[in-house]
Amino acid sequence: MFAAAHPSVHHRFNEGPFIRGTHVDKSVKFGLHPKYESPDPNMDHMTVQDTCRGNGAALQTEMSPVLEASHVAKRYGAVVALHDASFSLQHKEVHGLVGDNGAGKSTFLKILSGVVAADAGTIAVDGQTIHMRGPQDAMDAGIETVYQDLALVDTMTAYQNVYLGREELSRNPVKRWLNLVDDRLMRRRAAEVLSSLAVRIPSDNVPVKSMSGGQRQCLAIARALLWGRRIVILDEPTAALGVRETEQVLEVIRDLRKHDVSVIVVSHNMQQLMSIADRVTVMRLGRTIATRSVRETEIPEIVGLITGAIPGDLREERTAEPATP
Amino acid sequence: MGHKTYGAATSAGALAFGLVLGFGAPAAAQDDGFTLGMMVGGNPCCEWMKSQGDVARALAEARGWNYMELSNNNDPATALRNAQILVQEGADAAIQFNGQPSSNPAIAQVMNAAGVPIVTYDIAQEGMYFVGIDNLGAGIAGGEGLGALVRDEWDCNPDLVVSAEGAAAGIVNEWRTGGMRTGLRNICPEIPDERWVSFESQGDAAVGLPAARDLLAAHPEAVRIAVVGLNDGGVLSLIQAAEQLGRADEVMGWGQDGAFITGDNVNPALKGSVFYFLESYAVNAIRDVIEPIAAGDAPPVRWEAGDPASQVQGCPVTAEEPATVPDMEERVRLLLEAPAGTTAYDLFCPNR
Amino acid sequence: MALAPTIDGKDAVGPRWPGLGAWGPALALVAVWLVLIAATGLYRPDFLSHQTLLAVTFTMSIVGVLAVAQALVAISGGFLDLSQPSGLILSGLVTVRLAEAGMPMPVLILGALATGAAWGLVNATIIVLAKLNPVIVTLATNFIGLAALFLLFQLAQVPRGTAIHEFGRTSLLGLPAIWWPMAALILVAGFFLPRTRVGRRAIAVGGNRQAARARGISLPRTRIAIFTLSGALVGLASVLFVASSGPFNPGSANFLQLNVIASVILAGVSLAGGRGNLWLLFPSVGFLSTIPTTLVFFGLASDWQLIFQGFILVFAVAFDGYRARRAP
Repeated sequence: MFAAAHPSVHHRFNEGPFIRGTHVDKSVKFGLHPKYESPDPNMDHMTVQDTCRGNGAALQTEMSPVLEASHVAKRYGAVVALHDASFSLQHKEVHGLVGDNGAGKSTFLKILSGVVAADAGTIAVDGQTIHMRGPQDAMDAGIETVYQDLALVDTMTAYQNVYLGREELSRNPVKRWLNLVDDRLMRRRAAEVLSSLAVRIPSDNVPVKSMSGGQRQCLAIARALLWGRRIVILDEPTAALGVRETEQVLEVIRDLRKHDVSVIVVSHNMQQLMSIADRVTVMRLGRTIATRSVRETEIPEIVGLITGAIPGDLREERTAEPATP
Repeated sequence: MGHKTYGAATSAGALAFGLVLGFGAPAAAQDDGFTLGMMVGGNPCCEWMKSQGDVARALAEARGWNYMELSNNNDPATALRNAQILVQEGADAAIQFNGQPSSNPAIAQVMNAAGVPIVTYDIAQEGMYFVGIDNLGAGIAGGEGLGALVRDEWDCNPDLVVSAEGAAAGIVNEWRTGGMRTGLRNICPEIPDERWVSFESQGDAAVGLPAARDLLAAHPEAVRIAVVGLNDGGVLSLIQAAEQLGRADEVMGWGQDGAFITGDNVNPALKGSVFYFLESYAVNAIRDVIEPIAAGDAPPVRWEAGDPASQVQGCPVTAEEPATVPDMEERVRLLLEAPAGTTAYDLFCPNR
Repeated sequence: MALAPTIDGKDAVGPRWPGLGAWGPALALVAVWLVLIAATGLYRPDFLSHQTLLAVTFTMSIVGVLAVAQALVAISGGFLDLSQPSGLILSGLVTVRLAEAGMPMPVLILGALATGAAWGLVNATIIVLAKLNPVIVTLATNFIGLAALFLLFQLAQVPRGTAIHEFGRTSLLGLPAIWWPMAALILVAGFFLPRTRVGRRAIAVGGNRQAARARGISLPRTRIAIFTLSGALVGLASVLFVASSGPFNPGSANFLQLNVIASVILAGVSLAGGRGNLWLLFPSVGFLSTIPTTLVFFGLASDWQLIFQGFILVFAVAFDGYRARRAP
């Protein structure tokens, strides 16, 4: 069934050399997301229906990680922002990233999304090393990031924001030559992805600035979902929201698994994270020090890891290994 | 007389201001002889500013005076520094054109404190001898020129008489446009009051155009239109507006300053203008102010624009006549060959 | 889905002009314009004449083209291009020199467009390379340009009797020949800006620079493209200017700046960027070009008109502020 549903997997991802000797085997690649070309939300319905929370990842642990970051380091002048961060993200996993202020979360996140270039280390998507020269490289590799500022243009409508920077040109050759966009197509596809997230947006003709915080957050997530073929990174998705809207956004994040993407969530709120994530990786002082399955840990342990009250799993020399549970 | 070069210190200081125009300028208080300092306007707009300096230099040298020339670079602060330099260098009298008059009061103070008499052109300042155009006279002369045409062509019965004003020029605008209206009335006294209208042209053919079109639109019945104005540009803006509204067939304008009455591109509706021969200011200034001072007989400081120390006479010309007037280079040459005190008006005005 | 009933438009504000949608402000502007025309026509019936139409449409032409150029800069986040007067005179001077050399109209137009585009490119290059505020840069380049132009020439005009001289004085279908390029430009630019990929990206850059950058839109490229295009339009305006204005000096275009900016603001173009319908420039420029004409018909002295121009800008800014407060 996987093979039937994902016919194009092989000829795309068998190309290129194996990178960094991770245990990549062609046979386990069927779990990869199929949407390489312009997204078609209809294909979502062809993917595995997995509504179980928290146990999806267990099935995937045998498989190669969707994203693997190894020994990533970054310094700004004399200040070392990131000593050594390693991290692996499984298919259809919601993976929390926690740590105190200054632990290196945001630097790590910026490196993963291509905004900041790492000094050392590698990042591989589906076993292929990505050379990140800018956000475009991350986006091309299927990594979409939802920043706290959401990167929405307030004066534009929902669908225009969804297609920002990726506007579909008209299929009519004359209109295409005139650089005219296909609004009807973009409107329809945006509406489809929004409705698949059960996000109600007031109207396609209303600028984004008239939307509520929750709607805006969901819109940004929907956009990431449409374009992030494999990985969506959410930076503090609920930081600016009230209680009711936070719950709505969390529900949307839980739902993301249905859409066949893997999610990294950075959050301060431990309770929230535990309610949506499969695994949690803790950062301290510029290092990734431990990864825990949510089902096998409790908040006090995570808090202990964050504060240093509980030592990490790995010695500094050994942080190279992916901290799989 | 022998020219001496600038002292090194002064030269360096002057260079620092970027304003040395004069060469071989002699001077220094210890030198013998009368020293005239000249501060030209230095606005890159106009040939005549340079010519003023050339004429002043030639006239000064002809009289055996020392001559020092600085450029105000069209900048009020530079003008003030130039005044201080002239005082330091021991000028006995000075002439200036300062198109940026905000520093004029300070310049007057510096010169008066040092006891150096100074002539200023065009913009009056208390404490400075004023030499300027007889604007009212120029206006009346131009108005009478147009009046003759209106009498001959239209039997003194135009549908409209338009004044192209330039309010920013203040009293000069009133003298010129008011003078032109007076001159026109001198010839055609019977034109009814309601036919006299005006618009703000800002003295610029391009800038005045929209207001000129509006004025014409508001007087749709007017066919025979006589135009007077602050300058040629203002008059031309109404003529062009008439062209655009398809009503230029019977428009006659007479301007001031002669800017658009010469060359190959003269608008046929611009029937005349008034030349001021600005290069000849120095003749007036030296004849009526500086020479008496050099002779030890300083005249009283008449500084008001209405009561000037010396007046430059405007020369009304019809559109055909400018061809008979030599160009500026030639005029300067002829002016310097003429007997002392002869003005350009005396030499070149076809209708004197 | 549990979410559907809860995340809805409750917190949102509805459309600003209920029932009229996005065209509300346009209709309001057109209505104000028509009221002005009707009121003046009642007071002075001869206001409603072909002469008035010509006077107003002539005035609209140059301002309209410059307003499109200015609006493109504003919408794309460049705030304002204050170097338009210098750019216009520079292109105009090139046009005049080409006309004096006896070149045909197409060459004049190409020369003007190229000069204007080059002027815009110079501005954009400084802005992008030095990472400076466009307003400051264009203020400075306008100043420098003006000073340099004074060194280049004192007065210039296209020779009488040439095609371009005629172009500035003839009418076509009852309206000035120079009016039609302006009208066509507003129509075309207003159509393409929101409907093309480049246009939408320019709007996005103006609306939220960081967001546009995060979505892979290049700010320097957008800025250079917009300023170059806007400069070319200033070049187009210079063709209309030298055709219709007769002799001009380096400072002769300065007076247009205020009208252009007022038109852009009144048309609802956000100076903060990201919002603006170029089609609204038509009623906006039309309204502002009609006001001076009506003042003459009401018999106001000409010095009052200068005062009025200042008031109009204040009015436009106030109107924009009101609109912004009402906007969601």
